[in-house]
Amino acid sequence: MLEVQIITGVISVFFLATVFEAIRRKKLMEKYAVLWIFSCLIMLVFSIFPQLLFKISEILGVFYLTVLVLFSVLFLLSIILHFSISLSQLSENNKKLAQEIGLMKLKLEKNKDEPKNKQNTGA
Amino acid sequence: MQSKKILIVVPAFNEEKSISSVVQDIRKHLPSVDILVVNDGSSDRTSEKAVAAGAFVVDLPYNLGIGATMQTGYMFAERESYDIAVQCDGDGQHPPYQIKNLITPLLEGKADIAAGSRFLGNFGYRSSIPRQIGIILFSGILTAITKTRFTDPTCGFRAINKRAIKSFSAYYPHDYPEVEVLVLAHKKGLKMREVPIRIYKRKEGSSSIGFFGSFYYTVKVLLAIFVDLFKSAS
Repeated sequence: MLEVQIITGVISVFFLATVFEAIRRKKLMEKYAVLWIFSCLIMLVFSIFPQLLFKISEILGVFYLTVLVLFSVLFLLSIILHFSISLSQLSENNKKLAQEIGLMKLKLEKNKDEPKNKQNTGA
Repeated sequence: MQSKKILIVVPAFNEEKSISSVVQDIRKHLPSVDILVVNDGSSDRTSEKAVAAGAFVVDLPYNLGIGATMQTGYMFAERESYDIAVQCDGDGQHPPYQIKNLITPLLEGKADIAAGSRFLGNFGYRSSIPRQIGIILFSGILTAITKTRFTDPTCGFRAINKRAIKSFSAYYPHDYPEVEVLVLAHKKGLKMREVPIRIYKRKEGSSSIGFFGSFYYTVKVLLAIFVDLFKSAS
């Protein structure tokens, strides 16, 4: 029992640390980070108090977790975290692009007005 | 005062009913400043009304949120080398005649950022109770981190100088930026001070933050502040 607790505990701390480092490096937006930290904390709580899990098992009638399922879940979690980070970077790039387009349009508009005025005064 | 180039940044999202009067009001009280309305992907006629009222208008192609909207304003301020940029919301909550009070500490060189506070001074401003709890919580945290007294860190009515413009146009938080940006500014060594201001009740539209919004707001801002403490200053 203790080994399981240690293993799952280490896994959740690992995820928590990865998420934290990703936010610190501005690679993960807080929008996603809040959810991730929340899930990691729940994982941590379950690994410290496995009795809670047994309660849920009793209610749902699901008792056995195969190694295959465990690894699939870990694999999926890692991929989803990777996606969250990619999404954060994409929306950051997307934001920059939108800002530049907005500023450029204003500049174009200003330039368009100026030559017109010059023509008017010349004629 | 005339020698300083001042830009008033007005973030606006679907504010067609109030934007003209906000721009005209600023013009009336401060004839020598430039006004930039940053239209955050409005679906109404905010942009046309702002142009008609005589402001510069940046139209963001889609809704980016208040953080990116303000950052766009600061980017413009930096590129056009303004000395001072002031945030004045497009919904008419921030009374333009108080902008002068806001920029005074900057002109005197006493601060890099002057933040408006509804609670300094005796203007009797009352907010809803959950919001007051949030404001007290954030004020305490900010005061502890920055060693500067803050009473109203969620208020967006602010004036910043060239140093702060440079910093904000390079990095500005995404959503709910008001509190977090003060922590980041403190880490950059920018001097801050609160200025008492009076705020109008909102004329049009409603607060952008609902019940679940305020819960998320609190968690998100606390997390962001916590993480910011570990970020490198650069």
